[in-house]
Amino acid sequence: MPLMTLEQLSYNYPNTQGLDHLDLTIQTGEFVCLLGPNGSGKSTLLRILSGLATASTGTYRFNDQAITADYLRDATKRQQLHQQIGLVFQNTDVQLFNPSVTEEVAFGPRQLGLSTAEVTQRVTDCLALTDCTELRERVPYQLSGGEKKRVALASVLALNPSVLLLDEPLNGLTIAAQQQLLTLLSRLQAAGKTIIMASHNFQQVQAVGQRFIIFNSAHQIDADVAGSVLATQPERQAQLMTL
Amino acid sequence: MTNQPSKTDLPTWLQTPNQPITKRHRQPFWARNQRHLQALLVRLAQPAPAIPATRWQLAPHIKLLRLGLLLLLIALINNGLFLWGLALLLGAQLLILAPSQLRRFLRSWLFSSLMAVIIVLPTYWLNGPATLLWFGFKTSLILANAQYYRATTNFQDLLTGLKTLHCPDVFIMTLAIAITYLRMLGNYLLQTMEALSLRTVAPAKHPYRLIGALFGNLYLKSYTYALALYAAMEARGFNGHYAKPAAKPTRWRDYLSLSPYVALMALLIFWRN
Repeated sequence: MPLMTLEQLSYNYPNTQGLDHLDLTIQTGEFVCLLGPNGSGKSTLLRILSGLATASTGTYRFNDQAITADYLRDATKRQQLHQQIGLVFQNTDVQLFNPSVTEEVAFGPRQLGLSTAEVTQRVTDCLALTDCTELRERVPYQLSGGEKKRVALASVLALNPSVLLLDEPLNGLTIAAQQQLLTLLSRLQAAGKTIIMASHNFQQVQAVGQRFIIFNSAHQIDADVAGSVLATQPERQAQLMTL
Repeated sequence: MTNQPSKTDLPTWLQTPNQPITKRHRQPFWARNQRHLQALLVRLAQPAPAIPATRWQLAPHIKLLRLGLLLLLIALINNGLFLWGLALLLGAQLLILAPSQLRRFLRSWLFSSLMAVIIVLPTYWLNGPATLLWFGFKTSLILANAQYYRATTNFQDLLTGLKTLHCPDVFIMTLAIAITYLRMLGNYLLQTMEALSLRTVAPAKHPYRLIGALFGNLYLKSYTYALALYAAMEARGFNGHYAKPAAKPTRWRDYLSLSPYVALMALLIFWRN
């Protein structure tokens, strides 16, 4: 059974179209890269997959459950979905609202009703994984852009979601931090997590993506290619470099 | 909880499949109304609808003057026939609106008129139905004219009109920044609420502490943004004066559009004398 299924899914903003008749299936444990020019619908798709928005037409199924506006209106069901799908925003500035980095990362696990020891363990682990240990007493508001990205990822990881959605997570990171993050994502995938990452920079994600979904400026899927197949298509690779 | 390193060097808990926890609970007031607040912020975050250019587009300051005159007339006139005449004039103007503009006008006018009538409903029991009807008619006429102006004028035209009418620079600049700023902060709050809802995976023990954190964060953000905005304006040569974009010339039809209202105003003054 596929983890996520989109059938003829469209999404319209009040004055513009966001997505146009997408058909897509994502299996558990895949590492999917969404590529495309700015404004092609990558972030909109992530919003729909995470349950922040619902399709204007068409269907979205997660674990064979249709995710509709009615489904998301039920707080218990919505919270169950959010336990399974974590989203790191493109603008991580909006994602951090707690008075310290430790509090920020502990926010999710505390709500799950875990013991204090478990919460502390999760916070320590997540900060170490994202190289944020030295930031633990800092105020998130005062962090740099790259540091905020790492703390936002740590705060999402602390919930142990089975699907991790990342919207342009490499922007604003140093080359070393980008490599570190991509290694971490590969390790998470090896541990069974499903990773879906939006990017407009093919070079950055070329090495880690197992599957590349390429959007065009008409908000449609232009191509859905396996990484192994893409490796044999230098022309397409060259085309993706110019996105 | 064991935390032995494994083949992926990840903590054990992170490699264990997530078992969603279900907690049935009664939603607090904040959670029940969060959806409505988000819907309101989504509306605020939308860009203003484009206003199609028409052949009979009036100069921005004339439109502003006409609105001012109209509002003054409606407030002063106590003659039903004159008010009816003003309503007919507005009705004639509505006929040339594009269907999408007309729909937007009707929606916002009906809603604002309903709100106004609800607010003054107690006068029905205090002064009887005649006062309520009269007040309702006048208020809805004022609101209709204001909504017509809103439906046919973009924000830049409003600022140009104010500048041409020699409004102080500080006022225009404050208005321009406040409107832009409100949208930006609304969008920021919306995104933070979405981030919060994504990580609110169980009933919050202290929902009002969260609201405090949310608005505290918003205050800090707005403060930083204000400083950054002013620095950016100064870096681009802002010297405290609002530079007016090239204004449209005032033509005979601009003055003609004002004439019915000026005539009515004169009639009102002389009739009273």
